Parts: sequence; C-alpha cells; structure tokens
Amino acid sequence: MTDIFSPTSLDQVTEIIRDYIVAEKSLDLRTGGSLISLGSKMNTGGTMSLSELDQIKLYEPEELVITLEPGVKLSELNKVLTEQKQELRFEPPDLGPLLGIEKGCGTIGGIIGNNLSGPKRFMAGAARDYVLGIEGVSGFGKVFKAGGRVVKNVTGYDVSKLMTGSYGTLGAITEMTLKLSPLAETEVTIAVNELSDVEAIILMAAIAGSPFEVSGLAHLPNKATYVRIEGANASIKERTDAVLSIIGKKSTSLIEKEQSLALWQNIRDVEPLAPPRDIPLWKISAPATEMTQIITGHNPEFYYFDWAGSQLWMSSDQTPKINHGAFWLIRNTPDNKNSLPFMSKPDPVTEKLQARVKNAFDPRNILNPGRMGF
Amino acid sequence: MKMPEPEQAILDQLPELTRRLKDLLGDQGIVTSERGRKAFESDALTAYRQSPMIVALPASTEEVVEVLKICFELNIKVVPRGAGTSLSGGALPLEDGLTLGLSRLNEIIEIDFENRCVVTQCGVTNLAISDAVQDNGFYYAPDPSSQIACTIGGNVAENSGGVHCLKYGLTTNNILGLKMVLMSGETIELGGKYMQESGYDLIGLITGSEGLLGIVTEIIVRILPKPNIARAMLIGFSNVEHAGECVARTIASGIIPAGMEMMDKLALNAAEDYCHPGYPRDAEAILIAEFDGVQSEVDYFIEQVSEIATDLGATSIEVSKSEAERMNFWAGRKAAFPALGSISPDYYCMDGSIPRKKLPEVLRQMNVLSKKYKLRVANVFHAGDGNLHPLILYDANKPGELELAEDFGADILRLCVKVGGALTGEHGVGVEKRDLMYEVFSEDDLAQQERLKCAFDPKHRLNPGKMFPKLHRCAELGKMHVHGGKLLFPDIPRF
Repeated sequence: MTDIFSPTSLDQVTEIIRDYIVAEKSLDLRTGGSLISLGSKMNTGGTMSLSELDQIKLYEPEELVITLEPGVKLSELNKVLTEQKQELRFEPPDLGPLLGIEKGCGTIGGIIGNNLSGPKRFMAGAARDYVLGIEGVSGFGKVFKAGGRVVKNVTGYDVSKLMTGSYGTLGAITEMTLKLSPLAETEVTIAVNELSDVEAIILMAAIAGSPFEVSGLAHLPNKATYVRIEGANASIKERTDAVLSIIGKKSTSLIEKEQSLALWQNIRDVEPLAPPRDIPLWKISAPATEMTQIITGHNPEFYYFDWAGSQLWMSSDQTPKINHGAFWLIRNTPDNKNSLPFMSKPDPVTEKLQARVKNAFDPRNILNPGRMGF
Repeated sequence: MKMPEPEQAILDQLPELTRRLKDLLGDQGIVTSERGRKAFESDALTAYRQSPMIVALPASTEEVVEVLKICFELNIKVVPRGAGTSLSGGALPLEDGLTLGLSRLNEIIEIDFENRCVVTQCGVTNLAISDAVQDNGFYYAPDPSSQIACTIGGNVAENSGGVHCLKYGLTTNNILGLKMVLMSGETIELGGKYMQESGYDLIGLITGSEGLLGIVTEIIVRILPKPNIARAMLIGFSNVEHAGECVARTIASGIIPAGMEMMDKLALNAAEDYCHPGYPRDAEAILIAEFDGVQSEVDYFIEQVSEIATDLGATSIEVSKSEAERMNFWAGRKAAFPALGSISPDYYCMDGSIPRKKLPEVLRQMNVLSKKYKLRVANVFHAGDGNLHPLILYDANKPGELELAEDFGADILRLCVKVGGALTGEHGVGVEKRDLMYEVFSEDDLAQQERLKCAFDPKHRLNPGKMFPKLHRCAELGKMHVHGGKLLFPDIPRF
C-alpha cells in the first residue's frame, strides 16, 4: 500500500516533495491520472495527484491569456473559453475514451505534461507553443518559476517549453499561463474521396503549401481525405473555392459546421483507432514524404494520418521502423506492457544530455523515475 | 556593468591556442592583429566595447567541433557571434575569450517544399532564407528589423521576433530541428523535418539561450506559403491612449492582424523627416495595422478595424491601395531607429514587454520619468503583442548622460515588470539586462536556470558574463543537504 496525496496548495506540494527527498522515496506525480498509462511503468513509494489544484487564477480575454492550475478539467476550461469565443488553438485532445476512461476527465496539467496537440498542430503549433509561463516545484524541493504572462518574453531560458512534455519528471507544475486565440466564426470540411495514401499525402502537401490557411488535413484510408477550413463568415467561401480548385476533378463532398466539428473531434481524440484494443497503438511523427515507406514496412490494418501527413496513428505489434522522426506507444495491450519501448530514443550523446537535464531538476530521481524510459 | 575577471591561465595559453588554430583554420580563419580584433569589439549595443583575445572563423560544423575541442582542452572561454547585430551585448567579447565568428557557415543546405522546410547553416541571413524560397511562393515568417544582416543562428540564440510575430510566432515557433556542438566538442542533432520530437524539448530550451548552451551550426526552419494579398492601414490618433485602446479592442474582437505597430509623435515625425512616408505629423500617435490572407478576409478585417478606430475618434484612416503604398506605410516604421539617430547624437533602445491594456499607464509613467531624467524618449511599439521599444535620446559626449540614459532605461524596464510584463521581449538579456534579472526572478528561479547551464557547460566556458547576474559553481548548485531528517538550503557560494 503506497501513500496517496492530493495537495491543495503550493506549500503542501513542496512539503510532500521535501519529505520524499529526506525519506529517499520516489513519487508518482500525476494530475487526474487519465494519461498515466503514457510512459514506462514506474515503481514508486507514493503517489501525488495535483487534481485538487484546480483553480483558474486569472483569465483576461482581452489579453488572450489565462493562468490556471493543473487540475482544471479540459471540459470546464473549454466551457469558460467558448463563452468568450476563445480557444486553445493547439486543440488539446481528450484521449480518455481511447485509453478506456470516460470522456471529459482530462486536465490541462495532463495535456501540458504530455505536450499533446490536435489536428491544427501543423499550422498553429503544439501545446508547447502556447505555454507562456510556468511555476513548479523541482526535485530539490524548491519552488521555481519561468517565463511570464506576456507573449513576447525572452528573459532567461525558456524553461516553460522544457517542462511541457516532461511527463512530470522534472518537477510538479503547480501553475501555468497559456496563450489563447479567438475562436473562428465558422468552419467547413471538404471530404475528398477515394485517394490512395500516396495521392492523399501529395494532395495534403499541396494544400498545406497553399496560402489558404487550412486548419486540418487528415487522411483516413478507405474513408476520405479531410480538409478543414476555418475563419470569418466573410472569407470561408472564397477559401473553400480556392481549395476546391487545388483538389481539381476528384470526387468531393462538403461537410457543414456541426458535422465538421464532430469529425475533427473524432480525429483529434483518435477515435478511429479506439478498437481494436488487442494491437498496440503508436503515434509517429515523421516527414510526410517518408510516411508511405513506414506503412509499406509494417503493412498495418488500422492506421490514419493527421497533421498534413506528418503524424501517423498506427496499430502494430512491432516497434515502428522509421528513418527519421519520433514515436510513442500510446496504448499497449495489457499482457505485454514492458516489452515495447514507450518512445523513440535519441543518439547516445543526446541521451546523456537528457539525463543531465533531468539531474539538473531532480538529482535523486524521485519524480516519476523511469517514466520517460530513463 | 562588470564582466568576469580575466583568467591569467587563459591569457598564458594564447600562444599555444594561436598555433593550434592556425594549423586548423589557416591564416584566413583566425584574426590575431590588434586592428583586426578591434572590428569585433562590440555588437549593435555599442555602449560596451572589448577587443577579444583572438577570433576564430570556422567554415564548417567540423571546424567548429575542432575549435571547441581545442578550447575545451585548453579551458578557453568562447563567445559565439553571428552577424553581431545583438542589441543586448550578447556577442560582447571577453578580454580572455575567443570570439567564434560563424558568418562563414553561410550555405543553405537543402530546400524541401514538400515538407515545407529549409535546412540551413547558421550564418545564412534571415532574409536570404525568404529570398531562396520566394519564387515558389514561400517565406520564412520571423522578420526582425535587422533581417537583411542578422543570421538565422543569431535568431535562434536570441529567439528573435519581428513585426509579423503577432500572427506567425517567434523564432522558437518556427524551428523544427537543430544541429548543435557542445562545449566538449560533441555534436547533437535534435528534431528534423517533422513536427514533434521525443524526449525533453531541448530545441525549445536552446532557442533563446543566448549562446550559453552550445554552438548551433545547422537549423531546420519551417517555411510558410506567402499570403495571397497583404494590405496595411495607417491610422492617426489625437491621443496615445486611444491608439492603445484601438489595439486592445481589435485583438479582443477576435482579429489577429499580421502586424500591428504604434509610433508616438516624436518617432513618427522623425520618420517623416527622414524618409517622408506621408505620416500625419499632427497626430499624437499612429498605428500601422497589416492584414494578410485572402481578399474577402482582408477586406472584412479592414472594415472592422476602421469601425473600431472611427469609434475611438481616429483623426485619419488610410488603407493601402497598392503594394507600393503598403511598403511606404512600413518604410517609416522600418527606418524609425536611424530616423531617431538623425535627430539625436545617440539613442538607447529598450525592449520591455507589457500586457496590452497597461500601455496608457506605462506611457504616462514614462513621461514622468522623461521629465525626471531630462531626456527625451520616443516610442516605437509592437503594439499587437505588447512589446515596447522606447528609444531614449541622449548625447554620449555630454559627461554623465550615458549613465543617465541607462538609469532611465532600467527604470522603464522595472516599470514593465511591475505592471506584469517582461524585462525583454525580443532583444535578449545579454550583458545589458543581466543585472536586472533579480527584478523578475528569485535566487531559486535563477539557480534552477543555472543548473541547466551546468548540464550543458559545467565549466562556464560558453559566453560567461551574459544573462546571469552571478556565476555559481555547478558542483555547489547540484548539492542537497539533509540533516537531522530535514532538508537544508545553504547559501550557494559564488566564484
């Protein structure tokens, strides 16, 4: 039986970490825990959940910034932002259902800790691009902050980016300031039918390279290639027509706003690959031009492309074989949990450097030890 | 402003260092003469000058590796330098340091339109990247004012912005991959022609690290399709606060312009005298707002912003009707610094960042300070993203005036921090704002950042004296003391 803590203040977080340093025990650090299966298995002396740090500290819609604690639920956050016609432009996904948890449990802490981004990533940036500032507690038991609450800030190292996607291995994030964006007035999706993977990747590159600022480019084999266009009511028709002229004579259909919203939520949350659960599910980030080669190498039955062809979701029993890029094991089958790596490894020099970075925050390796595979 | 004391042991190594660098790089790859070294004595922050001990000019990543290996072995300090356009003294040499000039690494390695990226060496200029891809309808978005001269490597070191970063982000948002040589001479490659890398976001950490973590020799940048059309608005206001309000209301209404700039009366009149862009001389402030995209969207946004500006009592609204007119609106803004240079013997350019809505308050306080210090200040402002560039006008030939300008500048930056802003929006800390870091960060905050420095360069050989107000020994920074069941935090001894 391990200890479980749910601190309600920064002081308590600090105190728990200090106690664990002294006791030479390690901590499983999480927010709500719905994404805890992302990462290698850990053996820890205790668990600290930050889900009760759940306040929005400051929201200034006119400044497009929000400061909040990690435990704020995404579902609640979306509600607050939508009221002001704003959004997190990187489209944080809700991977709960994919991982066998109910919808709407995810927290902003989990999204930032894992650096998870949705379909807009290829044109709007990743979660890490929206983190303006951060406060956390390190494995030294010390509170530190970095960045701030303004968009332009180069004062000191960009520790906020480093903390984003560090899976709780560098520190407990107790507060973060994020950049917001105005919500588009409307959206429409063009579905292009009957393209092969190769044709779809070429078309997606052509559209991504056009000046019409499309905000979604995904290819679901045997279904369709989807092109999302968002923006002001005044411009959506001109841009849709322009994109249609790039697509040319292929068979297309238009998906209007409500269905389009649902479709991209589905793509964002990886619902197309929710079943089958008996094959490991991988996320692969690689050059779009090398994707068909990866597909040929694995010949998977279930897969689809997002991010204009540069992200591949694939079910496969094997570790992805890639020449360039990175991969993550998003969902394993329960029986072979430890036989597959959680993420791709860098070269040995970078690997050592990563270990030194970890050491700079957590020299006794007490925070989520081994979760990132080191 | 004090730099670290020169180390006699390093100065003693100069003959050996010179001999080995000459063997490696030949005569054209090193600068040893007093006159030659003097050319490197400052960057664009010319108030500080120091000739470097020696200059090395490698022409490839391999040569950078070899130079660093030699320096590592001989324990020589290294100051990296791109084009020397830093406004914060990031490339200020050290008396006992080697200046590593990277301008010879000036080749674009690969242009990949399918994956929408360019692989380039670090010494290529910012503008050269856009030039290389423009015929295919692409460009590289971050556009610092010095883009004709500044290098992409320098942009990575400083996380440079520009007038278009309001919509398209800073350097850090437009980088996909880096090749970097560590002080030890080891090389790492991070990221690539793809969107997400596994492991820690070292690219994010390295971008904006001001040459303290390693020497970035190759960069993969994201390129964007050029918008179909771009149009600019020139809006005059009879008071600065209304101009500020116009910016705030525009952004709050859900419009993100490609750029939104403000100039105050002193700045706009200097620009008008300098290059005659046709600015309304009687306005207290002007806004230049640019919109890009497709015709219908641009038209729509211009209409919206015109309404907002009219509501706020704008004294003039002009919309560019041709590309030439648009460029003309920008000409005065882009020439603002030299224009102010022509009405004052010297100017000192500041770089604070503030929440947009605090603009009127900050400008009011700045006027109070201007009276206190008896120095004029002109304001050029990336208004859309809250990045202020107050230019303090002074005369270095008048005794004490430079110091007065520096004190005035420091007060402005303290003011920015006080209202919730940042010490530096895009110019970097360098030597200039180093001693103001405690205005923003606690000892613990900075200790954590220094530990990162230690992970890359434990002997503090890379660009020491920049960014951190104090230097601590890495061994001490990494220690934790547990005594009697309690965690103790002793004071960390300094060098």
